[in-house]
Amino acid sequence: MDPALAQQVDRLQASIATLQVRWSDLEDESGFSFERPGLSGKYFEIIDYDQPSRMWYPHLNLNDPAVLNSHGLEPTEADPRFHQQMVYAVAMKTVETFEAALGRWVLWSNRKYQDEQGEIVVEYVDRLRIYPHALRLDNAFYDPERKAILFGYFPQGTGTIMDRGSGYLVFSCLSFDIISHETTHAILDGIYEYFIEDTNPDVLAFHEAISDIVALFQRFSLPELLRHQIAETRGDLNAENLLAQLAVQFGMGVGRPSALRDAIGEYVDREGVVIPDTAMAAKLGEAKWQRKRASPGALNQAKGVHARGAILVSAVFDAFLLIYHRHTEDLIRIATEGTGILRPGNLHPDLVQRLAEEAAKVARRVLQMCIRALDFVAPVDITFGEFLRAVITADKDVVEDDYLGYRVAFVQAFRGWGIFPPDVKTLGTDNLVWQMVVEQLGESAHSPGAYVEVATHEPAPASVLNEWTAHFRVAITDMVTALRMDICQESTLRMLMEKAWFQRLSPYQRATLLIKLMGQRKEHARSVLDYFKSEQTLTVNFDSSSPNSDSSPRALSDLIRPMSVREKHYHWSEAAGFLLHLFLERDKPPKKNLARDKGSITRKLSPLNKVILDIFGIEVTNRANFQVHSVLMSRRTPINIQMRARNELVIRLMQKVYINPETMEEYDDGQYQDGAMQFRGGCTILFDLDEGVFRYVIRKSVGSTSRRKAQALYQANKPGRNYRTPKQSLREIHGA
Amino acid sequence: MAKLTVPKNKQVTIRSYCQGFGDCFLIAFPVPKEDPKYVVIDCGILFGASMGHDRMNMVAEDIREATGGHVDVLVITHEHYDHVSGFLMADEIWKTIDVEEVWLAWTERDEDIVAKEIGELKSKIVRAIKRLRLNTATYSDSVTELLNLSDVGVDVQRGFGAKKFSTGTREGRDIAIALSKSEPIFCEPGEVRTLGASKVKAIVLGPPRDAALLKVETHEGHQFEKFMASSEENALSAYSSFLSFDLDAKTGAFGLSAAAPSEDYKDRVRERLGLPIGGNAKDRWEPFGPRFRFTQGSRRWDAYIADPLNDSAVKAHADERNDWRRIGGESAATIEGLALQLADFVNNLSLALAFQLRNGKYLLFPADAEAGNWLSWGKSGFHDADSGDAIPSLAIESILKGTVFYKVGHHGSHNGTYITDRFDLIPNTAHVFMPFELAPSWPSIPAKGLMRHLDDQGYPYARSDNKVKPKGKFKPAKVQMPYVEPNSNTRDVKFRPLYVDLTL
Repeated sequence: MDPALAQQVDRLQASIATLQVRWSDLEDESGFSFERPGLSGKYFEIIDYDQPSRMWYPHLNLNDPAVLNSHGLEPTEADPRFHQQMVYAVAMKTVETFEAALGRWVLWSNRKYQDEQGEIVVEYVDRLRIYPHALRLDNAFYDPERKAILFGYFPQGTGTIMDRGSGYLVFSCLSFDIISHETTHAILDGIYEYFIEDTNPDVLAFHEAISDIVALFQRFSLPELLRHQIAETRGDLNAENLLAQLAVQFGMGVGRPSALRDAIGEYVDREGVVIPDTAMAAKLGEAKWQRKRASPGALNQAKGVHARGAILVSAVFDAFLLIYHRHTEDLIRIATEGTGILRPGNLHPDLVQRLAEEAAKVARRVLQMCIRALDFVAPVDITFGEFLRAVITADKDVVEDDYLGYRVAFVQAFRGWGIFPPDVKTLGTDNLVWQMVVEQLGESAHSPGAYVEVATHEPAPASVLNEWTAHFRVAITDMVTALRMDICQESTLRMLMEKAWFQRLSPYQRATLLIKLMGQRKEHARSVLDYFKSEQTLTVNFDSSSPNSDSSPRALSDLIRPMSVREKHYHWSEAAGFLLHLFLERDKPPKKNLARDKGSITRKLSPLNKVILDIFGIEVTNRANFQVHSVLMSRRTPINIQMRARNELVIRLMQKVYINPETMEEYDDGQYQDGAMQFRGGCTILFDLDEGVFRYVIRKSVGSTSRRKAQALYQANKPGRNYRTPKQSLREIHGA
Repeated sequence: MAKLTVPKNKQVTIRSYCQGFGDCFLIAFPVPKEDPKYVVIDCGILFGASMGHDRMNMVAEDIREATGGHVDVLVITHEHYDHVSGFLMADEIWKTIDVEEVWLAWTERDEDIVAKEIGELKSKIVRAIKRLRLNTATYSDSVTELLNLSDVGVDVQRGFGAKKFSTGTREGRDIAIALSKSEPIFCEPGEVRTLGASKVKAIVLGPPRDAALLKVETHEGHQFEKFMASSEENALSAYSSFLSFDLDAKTGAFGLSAAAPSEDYKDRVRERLGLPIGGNAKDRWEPFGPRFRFTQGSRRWDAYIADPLNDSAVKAHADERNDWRRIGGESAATIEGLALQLADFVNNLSLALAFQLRNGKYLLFPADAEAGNWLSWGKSGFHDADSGDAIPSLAIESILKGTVFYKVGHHGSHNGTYITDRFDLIPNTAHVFMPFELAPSWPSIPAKGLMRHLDDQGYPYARSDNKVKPKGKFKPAKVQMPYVEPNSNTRDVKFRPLYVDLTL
């Protein structure tokens, strides 16, 4: 779990855990097999090259019967193959946690680069690369450029050349927490690529916080550690305990009394003043642990990404503790014959077991709430308050009532730390739920406001939406069918091509849609287009002067290539996004732009489409383009068995404008100018595939003046002003 | 306000501006029956300093008044924001000042082959940083500040995707050069220039010509540039200046002696960089036992790649198509490391000057010179800039021994003052001025070791953050104490909020 624990006799039993991870065979059901460099599965490829040492280490063969029979290698710091096993198992565990909560495949963020012609190429990344021994630094990070996680190792002590410290090496790739943390960064980057843009004080902090939350609550799935800690704290998780601490060995390696981060505690000196991280080295001797107290002013005082993120982590952990203590009150009462006061000494092992089960259950649910909430936030500029609303909404979506008090506990804990949701009148959980689309439209249709102009000249937005949805639903359902049929089959593509909506598309649009589905590069659109022009045969005739006609595909089937299941979902998402874009601006004659993210000036939109875009919170102006960022298919399993599982599309639309920071207006030509501020807006839309209705639209408009002002003010005041020393920054676990 | 003058029977008046973290000095050398010769050295403040614009305008305004709008020599020591930003911020004022001559280091001359090579080296580091900084979210603000020094154009304000962001370091330098009607003068090390009728001699100490020995070698094809030097001594200065981030800020001093560095030290540097270790020294960072270690091309390599897992990993890593995912040299080429390398590199290109007064005493202005620059001083002897005649009587030891005023190198950082060797020669009666202000992002400034050294040796010193140091505790400004020796005439020191005047 953490090598530091194995060095203390009393904690030895808590230091070892067996993780069960999904069998990752290297052959797909469809018979598609991967290249498999090093130790790789479907999600990760572990390459154990130690660049600073110029050394290669042997790779573990997880399928070796000798390894399988003993549930993997025995824990040891001295064998690089165990390091690989540890990284692989924990990273896979994190992926599984996300997939279970989100109900869909985890996809890594795609790779964007410029090719030789200067064209921007977007490429699918199948596997995240992991280098367990990449750095001689007290650091580990997810590198969004390389789509890789780099782990470092360093000698305990100060880590400088002049001071060798004790010289014992600390490996970040052996810390359960650091692995979960960095993997979460990578997963989150795959969902929201714009959460690495520093547009308000919460955004980067949120990235850190979610990574820590996942790392924290994942450990509750380790029964050995859990039982040990419940016994040690006598069931009171408010006391200093390992469950709430992250990266123990790493923390001690860089000169802290204990873990790198602690969700519930902090260190104080003799006078009871909290010791900041910078002064920790000097006051190591007198540092004393104390329970962190929630205070509503804490958030305003917190400086820096990690400090702010720590508050969100503490708030979620406090919510967990509230629920945990509520759930275990009865157990304690039973064990104490109603007094509620435990006798001194050790707890009964049965009680420990029962408490551990409750803790694990609550932790799992809290973690799921946090992860599910990720689908209920706008894709840009997140704040902690919005996250709270998302948590409540997402939970209500899978559990109708809240008699166990999970949601109330969240609101209470967040309030304690001064995290308040924006734009709500009271803090009742019902008030915090995002409004559903029907409710929003119901209101605006009858009251003066945003839709007044539309309402006088056009039919009511609700009926426009219904009509538009009916069309969209037909097409998207066919697309879903195609995905289920397998988009790597020619028959599937032919099925799509016969659909009426498909045939109404222009040849360019049809070609692009197919190209995207097949995951081919844009150049090949031409050959598909030729096919549509001939409309006779599937065989494409190239003119003989074409220089690479030999290597060019001659038939549609030549363009089909085998793909992994996740890659199919990725390309399907691209194609579905393109289709949605066409539907959103259907009256606009397509120009030469085959790519969905190009051009698309919306001035030629029909009034009806304007209404739809308005509902989605998309600004319809000449200066603001929009793009469909992603369309992902999710299956949400309810926690209440009375509720049905939902097949949903999670759709994200994005807009970007350049703002003149003086006037807060966009530039007339919509182009970047010197000194301009980049400003994004967008929305997350949840579309119920079974019922064919839009359920939620969570918007952040690109036209919002208050948000523009806030971002300008925040960014103007922050040119590197939240001071951290280089040393310190190295000591934090980084991530994008 | 009156002009800055030098009292009778005095050699010089030095006005050290207290604008904050940055250099700006106005020196008046008396000329009989005429206005003094005015020399200005640098004019800048750290990027992002609060009220920086106002402060620099006050400084420029004061220079205009104190010199009557006429500066004889303007020295631009090196291209860092905290040394040139004043020209950018107060360009309106500067444009009304007549500047006779502008002096720059020879490394700024575009036509010079070696200078060109250095320029390329610099841009290589810049490119490496730009490659790395795509991952903006992960580095600290201190690094941002380091990068801003050299104007690598990190866009902290507008997030990703903004196309160009410039702090204007180059523009600041160019404005300064344009102030003079005549061509800028590029100073070569060892040159001695006489300042007209004042009879004061300006001695150019650095940057060294043998910086040419700092060749660039591309290491393993890509990712980071290693600085290789051809001789032991240059290896020393290269290592010490480029790896200063690894040297101990606590002691504040180099762990280097004037002699060649110990094998042990060099091995530790090499370990950190992942370079081959000389002799029989063992790599202490090596994490695993020999049976797990395989080096490409070694005898056991065939056995290693016999396992298909290993073979595929090696191939995947070497795969051209996956070039973008390959790792290499992160330990040395972290953005932190490169940013420091760049900052240190430019620092070492500082134009370091000494002024020989008529009484044979010296003023020492090393700008931000670091160890490599210090070590090279006087290497190639001294010669008259006009006639080219050698001046054998002049030696670096005598310059240091005769120093009466020392501007602390590199704002009092741990690597700006070469304590172990050369600095010891400066007598403890010399007045020391430290142009810095406490900044949380520069926690190692002032270096504790340097401060202790000054205290232990009893140097009188003042800091530009308006604090002076009597023996014992810091006292707030305007309590002017032993910046001058206890017995000397205190009229010779004037403390003002904006500057400290010292007359010698």
